[in-house]
Amino acid sequence: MRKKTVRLAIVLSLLCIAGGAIFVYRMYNKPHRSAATETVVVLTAGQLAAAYELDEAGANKKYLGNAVQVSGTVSELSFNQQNKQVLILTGTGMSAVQCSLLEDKAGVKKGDSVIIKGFCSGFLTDVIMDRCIVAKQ
Amino acid sequence: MIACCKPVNKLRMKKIYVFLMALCCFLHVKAQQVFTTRHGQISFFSRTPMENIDALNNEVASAFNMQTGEIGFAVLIKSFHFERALMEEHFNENYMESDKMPKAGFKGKINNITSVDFTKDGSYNVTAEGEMTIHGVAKKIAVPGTIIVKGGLPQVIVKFKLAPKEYNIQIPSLVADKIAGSMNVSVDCRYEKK
Repeated sequence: MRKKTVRLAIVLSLLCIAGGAIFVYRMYNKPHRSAATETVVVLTAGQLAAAYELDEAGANKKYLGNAVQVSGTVSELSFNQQNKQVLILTGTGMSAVQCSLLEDKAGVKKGDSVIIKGFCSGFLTDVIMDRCIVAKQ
Repeated sequence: MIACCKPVNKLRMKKIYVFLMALCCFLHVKAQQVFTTRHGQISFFSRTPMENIDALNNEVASAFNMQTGEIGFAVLIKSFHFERALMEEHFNENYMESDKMPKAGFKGKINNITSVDFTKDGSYNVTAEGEMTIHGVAKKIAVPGTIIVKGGLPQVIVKFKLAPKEYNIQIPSLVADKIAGSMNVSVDCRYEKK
């Protein structure tokens, strides 16, 4: 009877350790967030830029670190120093929305209307979005 | 008739002269060239026997006046990306508190800007002095750097060490052996003409 209890205790504690190890391992290796799979806040590039111009702290509460989907017109195309495509979407007269894409090339051109999904990093002179994907061209 | 017109002409000439002067001043301000970038790079790494941590930010905004030597950098903390999602999460939530303090920056001046010839390709050693703000803490710093001029456009490269402790970034003793007490920071910005 006693032997059985001891055996059971050993098996249970081993299971716990194994479970814990698997949990830690999976946490350590968990994948990056993806705008493709997260629920997104939907708005236009103009609305996002205006929200940041008007009240940066308030806009940060709503959008910072969140998956956002913006629609807008491509006003500028460039590449960053890692050779990834960067799109500037027309925002307000004062500031724009800058989207760094995960892809090397977006296949869009100046003047195109696009829908971009990405994560909002905050506001410098423009609203910055990164890890973006082109949802619709 | 002619006699009474003369002073009017003189006045007009004066007006044109003033206008030209103003235009010259305006053009002079325009000629004070400012270089900018919207996607400069800042990376940092921490090396310990337990773990290596690298992070890269590709969305550094910077402006640089080639005449006065004034230079500024602004970064968003959430634009730093790590190899592991968990590290990125800890960096944002536990250490940098990026929801509360989403930005960091530097504003200062290159001391020996006159030693840089922007018309000649080459590599120039400079020093910059100014105020660094990270995690809501502002500190005066001085760092050496390099300006590489190629085709009239500058690239600024700076490497320096930074201790999280100095900016009131607390690292719990539990993970102290995985995070270095001093980070190696690299700045690499390629500028365009404004």
